[in-house]
Amino acid sequence: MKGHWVEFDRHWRDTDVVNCQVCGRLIPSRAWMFDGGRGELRSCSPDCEEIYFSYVEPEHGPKEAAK
Amino acid sequence: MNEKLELDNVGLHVLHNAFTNIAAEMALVMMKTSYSTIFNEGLDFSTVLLDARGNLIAEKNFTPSMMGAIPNTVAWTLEEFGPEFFSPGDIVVHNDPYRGQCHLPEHMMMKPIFLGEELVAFSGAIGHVAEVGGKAPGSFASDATDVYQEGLRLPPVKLMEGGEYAEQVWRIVLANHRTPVNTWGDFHAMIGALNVGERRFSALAERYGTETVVDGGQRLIDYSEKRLRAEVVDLPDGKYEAEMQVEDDGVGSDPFTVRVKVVIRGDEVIADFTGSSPQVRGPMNCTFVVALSAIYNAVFCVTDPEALIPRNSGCYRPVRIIAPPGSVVNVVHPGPSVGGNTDLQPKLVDLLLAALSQAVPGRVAASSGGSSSNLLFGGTHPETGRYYSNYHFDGMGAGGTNEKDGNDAEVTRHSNCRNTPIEVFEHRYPLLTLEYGMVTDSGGAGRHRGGLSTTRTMRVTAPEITFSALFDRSRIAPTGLFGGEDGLGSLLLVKRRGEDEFRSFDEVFGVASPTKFTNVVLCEGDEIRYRTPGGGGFGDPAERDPEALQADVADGYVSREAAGRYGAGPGPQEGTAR
Ligand SMILES: [Zn+2]
Repeated sequence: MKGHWVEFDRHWRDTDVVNCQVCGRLIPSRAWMFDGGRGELRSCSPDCEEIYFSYVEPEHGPKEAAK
Repeated sequence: MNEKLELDNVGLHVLHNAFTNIAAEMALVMMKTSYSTIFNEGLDFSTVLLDARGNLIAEKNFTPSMMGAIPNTVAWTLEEFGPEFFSPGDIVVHNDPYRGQCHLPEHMMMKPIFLGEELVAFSGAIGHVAEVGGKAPGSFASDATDVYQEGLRLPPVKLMEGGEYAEQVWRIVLANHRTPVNTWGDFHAMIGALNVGERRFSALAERYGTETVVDGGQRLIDYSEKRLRAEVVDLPDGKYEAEMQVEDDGVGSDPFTVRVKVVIRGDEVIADFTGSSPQVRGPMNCTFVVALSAIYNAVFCVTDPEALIPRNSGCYRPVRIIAPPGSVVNVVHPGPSVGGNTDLQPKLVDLLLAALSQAVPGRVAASSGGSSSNLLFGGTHPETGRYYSNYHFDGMGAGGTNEKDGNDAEVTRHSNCRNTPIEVFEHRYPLLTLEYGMVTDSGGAGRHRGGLSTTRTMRVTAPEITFSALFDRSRIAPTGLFGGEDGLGSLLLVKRRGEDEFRSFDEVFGVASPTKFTNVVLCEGDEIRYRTPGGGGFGDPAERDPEALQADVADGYVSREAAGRYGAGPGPQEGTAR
């Protein structure tokens, strides 16, 4: 896996939640970031980098980078 | 002094039974001490043991709709706050649909189990709390357009801190639920279950040693993973697609679409919902964990229908999901989701089985009724002067399978709940049941017939009752499979006092949907009648065993007229079948 973890720095008053761009799961506190071909994707774990390259990208094409 | 327990197959079996019995005792505590019928009669809850990272170790009386939520609720709370968030005697509650809950009424409570200084496990209880505020009594607004109309949302917060009441949190909760006495009782039933789980787990660790019990839990998870992967390997590799239309979202009248591609590759299964409709305005959206529960459910149906593999997090590992955020299978804030859990989830299971029917045709079922047929009501009870509220569901037909007819009058395949007896119902609520039975001809014809649905007629005996409903499958019937016919759809009718005929709610009250509406006021003497959906048939009706058909006619399951649909069936239509 080529990605890396990024810890969120969120105040408790921030009520937004963030989802994995690959599988849709909640990302509670840290994201696994990796280059999906069109910039960095925000995912929930290295497993999602694996499934992205083994299934999602070949099946649906590359995803847009995280905003 | 610990008793020696080798963690060989025999030892693991002993430990598995011990864990499961703890979960079962927890369930009994909830059933026997709760206040609401949805817990003590409906059994709409689950009790579990989890490891220190939130992995499921054992469960009992499991409601399959909660499978996705249970481990993730704990794991994600741990991820968000860290293990240091938990201290001995704490109980954390959480019903946030965007953080791992099925929908707003579902509340998960978790209690850390410490042995000495070390956090070694959690006891957990999850249940559908009957009343959590929001715009409709029973907290099931079928026309809700955001989560704030659905009730009080709690992120993970402590209800108990070090064994003491976190009084400020309780005050907020009780002030926002319409029936705070029930909430008080039901929350304490859950807390009681957690305390029993903690005590029994600690006693088990005392008996066999902490290391043995903790290590044994992990080995059981690994064992289940290995066995489930072995079952998945036996499924033919491939991509299997299916698509369905759902009739409406409760707010508009347009149907929406769910698409799935089930990918079997080696020892893992991927359910990819890419291409499903964007999340809808009304409350028919699923949360992520609800979609996850549906795929677990479908995979277990085709790989291990008799649950011979210990159900724990190991069974979940070979199953992966792709649920695009902002779609009907993964609602994002502030989208509503109360009906996604009860009425989209069972249809997701049907959809996944339809996809899997291409891989393992002999192991799937035709569509079930697929609607929990939710009926909500509340008001001031004329005898007690107190506010009451209830969440009610009834049984429907299950789909026929390769082996047998669908079950009759069964509460949805994703809930495993029980109906509430008429006696209990009438004792608690001002509604008189005039008729309750199974519906002839509601099961789709097939080699194996769909199960029969139920009908109920009730009369209001209070000056007024506020009703809400969320029924589905009224316009798009449960589908048959491999030539089996569709089941009969649902129906919801009302007869005003002094009138002779039952009519639809949209005709009488001008609501947008005949089966999804909120806060309709009925008065004394008014009657409500409904029919839940029947199951789809499996296989060509002409291939049905003639003796089985004759028995169906004799028992009133199939009318003489409808028997003609089976080709060689008895009755006046004999020989004139299509
Ligand atoms: Zn992911």
